[in-house]
Amino acid sequence: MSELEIHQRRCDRERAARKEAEALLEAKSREVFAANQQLQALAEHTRAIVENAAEGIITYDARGCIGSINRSARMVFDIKDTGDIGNLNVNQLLKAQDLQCALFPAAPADAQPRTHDLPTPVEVTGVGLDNRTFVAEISVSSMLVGDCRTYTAMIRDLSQRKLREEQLRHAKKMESIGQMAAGLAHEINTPIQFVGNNIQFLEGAFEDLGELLDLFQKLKKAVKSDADAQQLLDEIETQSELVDLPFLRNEFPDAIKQSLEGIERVAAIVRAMKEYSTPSSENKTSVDLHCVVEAALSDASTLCRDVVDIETVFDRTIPSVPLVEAKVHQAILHVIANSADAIAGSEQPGQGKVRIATAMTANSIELQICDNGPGIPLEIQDRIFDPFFTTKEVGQGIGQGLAFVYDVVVNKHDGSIRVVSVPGTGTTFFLTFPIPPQEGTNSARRAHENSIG
Amino acid sequence: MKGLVFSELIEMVEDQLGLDVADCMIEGAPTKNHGAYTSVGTYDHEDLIQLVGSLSKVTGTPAADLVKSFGRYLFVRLSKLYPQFFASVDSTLDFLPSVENFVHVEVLKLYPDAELPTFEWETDDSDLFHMTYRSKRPFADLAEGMLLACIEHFQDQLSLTREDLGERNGTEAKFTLTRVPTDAALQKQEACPS
Repeated sequence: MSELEIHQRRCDRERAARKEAEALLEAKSREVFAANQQLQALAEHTRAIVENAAEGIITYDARGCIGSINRSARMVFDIKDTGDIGNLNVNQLLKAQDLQCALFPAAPADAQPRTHDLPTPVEVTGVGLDNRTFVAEISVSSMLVGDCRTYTAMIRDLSQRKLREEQLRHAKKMESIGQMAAGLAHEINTPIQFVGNNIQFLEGAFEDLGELLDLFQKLKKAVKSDADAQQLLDEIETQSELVDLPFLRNEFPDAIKQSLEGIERVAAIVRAMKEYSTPSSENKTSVDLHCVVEAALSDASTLCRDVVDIETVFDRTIPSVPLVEAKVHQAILHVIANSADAIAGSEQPGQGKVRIATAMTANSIELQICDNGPGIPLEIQDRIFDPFFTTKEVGQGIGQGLAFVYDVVVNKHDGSIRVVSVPGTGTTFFLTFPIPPQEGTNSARRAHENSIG
Repeated sequence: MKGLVFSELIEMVEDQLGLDVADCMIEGAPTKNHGAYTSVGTYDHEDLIQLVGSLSKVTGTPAADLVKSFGRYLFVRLSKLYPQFFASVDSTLDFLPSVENFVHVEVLKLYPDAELPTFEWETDDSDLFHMTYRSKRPFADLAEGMLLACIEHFQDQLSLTREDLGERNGTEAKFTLTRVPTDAALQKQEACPS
């Protein structure tokens, strides 16, 4: 084989390899082009999603310098010129007490996202470039892009929602006031009605008695002057029969008594209204809550007899706390009375149970009053503490009990009250009273001492 | 199998044995591509076996020896073509674990459908290391040649032994690298026996 032929064949092989390489290169270029097209389409799609999202989306760096801001955010903050974005800092657009914590949440220790790391929405004040301020809600997440941390804030203008909430609150308040007024009107109307009726009766009866009294005056004069009194006696007899004197004799005391009761009832309603509207000025004293509960149970014994069995589970390590004892006593009595009434009105009143327990949390004491009554219907559960809201018939209650309980626990003791009620199963009231810091420390020390062997 | 292996084989034969031997090797092997290989292409590994077989006939050298020599040559070439894989390592025992964990990962990024052999790395103690080669193709001889070149490249004091596994057809082999005490270490041991 000549050298020339060897070189010729080598050259042919090289040429074939080159052509194959060129074909592969062309195919690879087409692949890359197609991949780029797909990437561009994906980027465009993603950009469109972000740009047109209903919520505002702002990205910024660790210094707060804004990198991007979508259309919704531009509308919310009145940013008309997208060229201004480079000069904007997110701290110019949002204000809040702990803004830095909200805007720059701590990154998780590792890079893996976890479901419980989902950002918590925070309410802040938004400030537009037109200086309009509004309530906004933001959720911020962060990510590493290369070595730089980038933050993404989702922003929602809550102005409309707040307005609707305020309107709803106002409507509920008006409804509550309306119901209160209707309840009051009912409660006052009934006693006033029978006071009026009784007074009218007394008025009519007095007119009749007036004539009889005139006859007695004439009789007195005749007797004094020794004149003939027989005719007057006959007239007195006739008139007495006409006015039915024995009947009047019996009815007058009842009419007067009922009128006084009616007036007292109206006075009680007025006092209750006054009590509810007037801030309390009673001083608190350090009281053992268990003593207050036991006193209230004693007062409720008559109410509960034959209706409910009472069980108490007390944590005796609970310290004394500052309470307006009389108010708390009354509040507990109201709750127990409500339970007893509910059970009494249920199908099996004889099997009613009320369990009263106390427990201590980190900085408060909790009183639980749990019954196995019919429960509170779901549709009214959010109204039971409204003043004068009641489900009872007119004359059986003015809806002040739970409103009073709420006022005592929440307003007068800075506590809290929570109700868990399942219709058909029962209701539990959780009344929480705060423990002043020193009491809490003393309590912890006492618990420790008690635990030492 | 990537065309790089074919093109490097032909270049090695041309450089070391001459154009005529390379021409005879190619003409004597019933390959699908008739010796026209581009390094970026992909070809049937049977072609390589045919070429090696043909070369063995032309040179009278056993195929296993030829493949081993080619393995040494190929390692040197790859170290020049892809210096980035050697940038952060300075010994055989640092480099070999990275073949599976880094080098092959990078290869697959460029050539996702590449069928690469696998290497399992384990050690019993600080002087004994085992690397198990597994492949669909019978190229344990190539791997052996590359391992020997690797040890020479890093100038390590390691000895290499091989144990064929499985069907003992070159698709599965266990290579054992053992540290060889240096003269200085031997003298020290003789001076202070424990």
